[in-house]
Amino acid sequence: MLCVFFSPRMASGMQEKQYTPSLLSFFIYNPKFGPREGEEEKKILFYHPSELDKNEKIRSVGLCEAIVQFTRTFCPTKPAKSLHTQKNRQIFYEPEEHFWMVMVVRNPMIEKPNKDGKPPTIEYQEDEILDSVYGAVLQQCYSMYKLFNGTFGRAMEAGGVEMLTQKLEKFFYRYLQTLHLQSCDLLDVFGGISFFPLDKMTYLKIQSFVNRVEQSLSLIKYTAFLYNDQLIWSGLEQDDMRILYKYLTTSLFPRHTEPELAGRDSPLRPEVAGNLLHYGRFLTGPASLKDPDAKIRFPRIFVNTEDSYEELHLIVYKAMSAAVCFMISAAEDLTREFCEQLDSLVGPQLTLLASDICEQYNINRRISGSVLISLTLRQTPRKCLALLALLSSNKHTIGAHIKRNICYFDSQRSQACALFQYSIYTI
Amino acid sequence: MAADVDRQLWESTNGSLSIEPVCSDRADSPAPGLVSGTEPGAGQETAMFAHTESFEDLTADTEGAGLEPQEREASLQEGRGEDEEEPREECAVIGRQQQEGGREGGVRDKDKDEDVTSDAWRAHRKHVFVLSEAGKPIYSRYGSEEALSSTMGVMMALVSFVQSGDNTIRSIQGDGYRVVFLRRSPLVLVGVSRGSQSAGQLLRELQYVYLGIVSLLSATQLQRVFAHRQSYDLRRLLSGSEHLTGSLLRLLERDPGPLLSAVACLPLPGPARDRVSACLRQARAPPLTFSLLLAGTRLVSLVRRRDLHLHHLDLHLLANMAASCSAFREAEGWTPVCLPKLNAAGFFHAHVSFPLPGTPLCLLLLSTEREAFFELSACKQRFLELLHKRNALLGLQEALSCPTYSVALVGVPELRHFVYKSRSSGLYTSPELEGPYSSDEEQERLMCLYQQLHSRLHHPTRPLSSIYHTTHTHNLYAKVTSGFELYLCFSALGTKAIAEAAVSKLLKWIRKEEDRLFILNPLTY
Repeated sequence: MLCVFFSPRMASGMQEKQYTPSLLSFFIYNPKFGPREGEEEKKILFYHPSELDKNEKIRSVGLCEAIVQFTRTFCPTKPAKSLHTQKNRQIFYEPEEHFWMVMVVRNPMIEKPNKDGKPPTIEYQEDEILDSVYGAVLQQCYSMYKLFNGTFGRAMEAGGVEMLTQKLEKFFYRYLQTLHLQSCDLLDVFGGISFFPLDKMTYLKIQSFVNRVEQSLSLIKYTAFLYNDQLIWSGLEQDDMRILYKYLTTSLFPRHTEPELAGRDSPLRPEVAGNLLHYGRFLTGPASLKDPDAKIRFPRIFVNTEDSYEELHLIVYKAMSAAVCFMISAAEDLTREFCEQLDSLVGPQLTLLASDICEQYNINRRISGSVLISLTLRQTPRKCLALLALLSSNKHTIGAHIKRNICYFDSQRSQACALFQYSIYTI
Repeated sequence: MAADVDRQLWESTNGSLSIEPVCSDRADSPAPGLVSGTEPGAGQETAMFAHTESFEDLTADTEGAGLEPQEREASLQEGRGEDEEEPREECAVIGRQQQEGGREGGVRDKDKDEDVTSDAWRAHRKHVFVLSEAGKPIYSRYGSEEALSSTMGVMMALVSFVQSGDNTIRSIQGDGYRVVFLRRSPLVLVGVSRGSQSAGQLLRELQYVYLGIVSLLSATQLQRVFAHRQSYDLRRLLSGSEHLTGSLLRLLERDPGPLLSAVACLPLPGPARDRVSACLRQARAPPLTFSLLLAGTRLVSLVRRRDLHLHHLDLHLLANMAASCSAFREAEGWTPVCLPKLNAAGFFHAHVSFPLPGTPLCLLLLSTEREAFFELSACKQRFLELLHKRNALLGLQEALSCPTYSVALVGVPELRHFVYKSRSSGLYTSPELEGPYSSDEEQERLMCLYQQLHSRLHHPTRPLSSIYHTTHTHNLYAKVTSGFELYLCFSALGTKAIAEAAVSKLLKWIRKEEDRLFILNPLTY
């Protein structure tokens, strides 16, 4: 009878538990802020989790400083980028001089239960996560912060350390909750923009629409046009557009479920009484133009931080699946009248345009799809097919990402090969 | 893992389980899916090494992994255990001799005088540091240990800081370089490398360096020294042996053997090799456990005691020791050496001589008895006489004068170089590096590419069976089956189809040449 108890079947009957990589801590420090002993805490500008013991925080910052300093022995210009340990991985990033951002990710692990009530054995899968992926995630954290808050240096100039820590606290407290480390992959490394495939005529229609609006509302500095979460036209620099695109598609758009899709009596359906001419509405700024007490406030973004350092109002206006971003210098005061003018000018045109695009898209969809695949086939037969199969779960963005790869492939044959192999391993 | 393999071999040598492939099994044109034991280069009888199927045994703990318990007991009874104390002094003495006469001496001094804050020091492709757990410097490849003592202090601090969080530090990755940490109590080894070498490969080299130190001191003595005094300065015991570590590191960078866990043979026609082996066997003496005939790092012949197997790793360490001490070239040498994979606790005694002056031929006679020098010296004399008597000398000398062969013999024009390993015998073969690979730099680059392929194939969680890799100067193809491991390097004009065709052509060629390229009939006493 005892044999039954200790048979291997019993042991295998107990479940192994698999844990995905998770964020252990995230902190930002500047070693210049507390150079004297006893003042180490001053170096820390932001620390997550904030409830951690002060000495623990100081210790982990100290380790990072030591590692950065140590690697300078061997390469003074290029300090460490990551630290691998059995249990976790730390990624270092110095976005601005002396400002260090560090992300500590716990390695994925498997918990194997032991019989006889012994604590379970934990096996860390150290080779499962890639520096390039989490390095890109960390850089994205900074870019996203910079988009809405400007650089660390500017905040220091404006209000000293206090202002900077407040800004960091306010931004990262929310932002870190939206990091889904377990689902980060190669696409995060590219941080690419997915473009919407379109025929010439419709594309020209969109361009003329953008030009007309910029002509009549001369305050507008930059415009970007998206359809179905994919970009069609942008006046911003590519780096800025990349991070703005990321914000729009992963944060802003998902928060505003389509009222067009909601039923007539659904509470999601906004008050469009009296405005049946078009489906246009503001995704940022005033919830309703009808309410005279509502404040007219748009989020501010910072672009071209390298040279001209522009601060802009971000107006996102949407009709059906088409969305337009208008960016206006923050120095301008945006009034209710301006918003109404914009609404009445853009709303009807955008509604028409959106249905045009939709029609064209439906006609072209089958053709463009097959063109993409045959193009892929001609370049690298087996690898592309494998990649397509692997990525097929996420149809919308994939097409464009593969297309990007092919462009890359055309110009630099040998490097693209490696890129493909790499992507197959990762995903 | 290693113990398992040992057990299998041990059992098979006792005859009960031995599987002896019959000659008719050895097809002329082997299919790529050959099973282990029938691939070109597989031994006719039993394997002569205690080699492992992959490189995993380097990552396993060395202590106790090498021997079966009963075997260990047996060997200790033979009096090996008693030797543990003395060789320390002897070892140091030989070390000093080596340094005085050593051709490496000049090079070493230059390396040691280097300014550790200079750009030249930083620009070295690979640094290796060894320190004790108290943070005391033991070895540095470049620059003097004294000048680096604070850097090594920081290394130890990092190791113990991470350890204090119940965690283990593995590596630091930078832009274009990496720092790898290996803790082998009571030592800590740190490697810093530039370029594309992966952390795993660097870790393997650190393991070798550690075992190299164990081969001089034995694990038992190493433990005892530090148990006695934590802050002991190990350099006192190792003085004069630093160039051994240096040449071991160079070997690791050039030679595919350690990478593949395999040993290369000197190409020698089968009958000639059999004659030499027979002479070697006949010139035996009771205390002998192994007789090895080496040409540089290439094995000419190996005769072993029936119940003992030499590990390829021990053989690499022995070959490195013999080749890097010029003192042995002038006169017969007698030195204690620990074979960490066979028995990390005790010492063997090696009689080292270069019987044919002017050639790299080296005779190593290993015994467990400390006083057997004259007996083994007589063995060597007898061996030479037998060589003369049986006319085996001429063939051997011919082979020594052209120790490699050209890749053109295979008959694939795009093929520039290859490495073929027979997995069941633990032997590999590889042609001369010619053409574009005549410079050291290019050779190391090729080795680096092979290392990359190797780490892809043997990835711990996602192993591959074959890989084709294209760069703007090379096309590389690597393949692993249960029988063999193959790495091919083609010119930039190569294609995948050519590579596939080349594999079968090459296998046929190796099958045809196997009795020249491999040792098919290993002998025992």
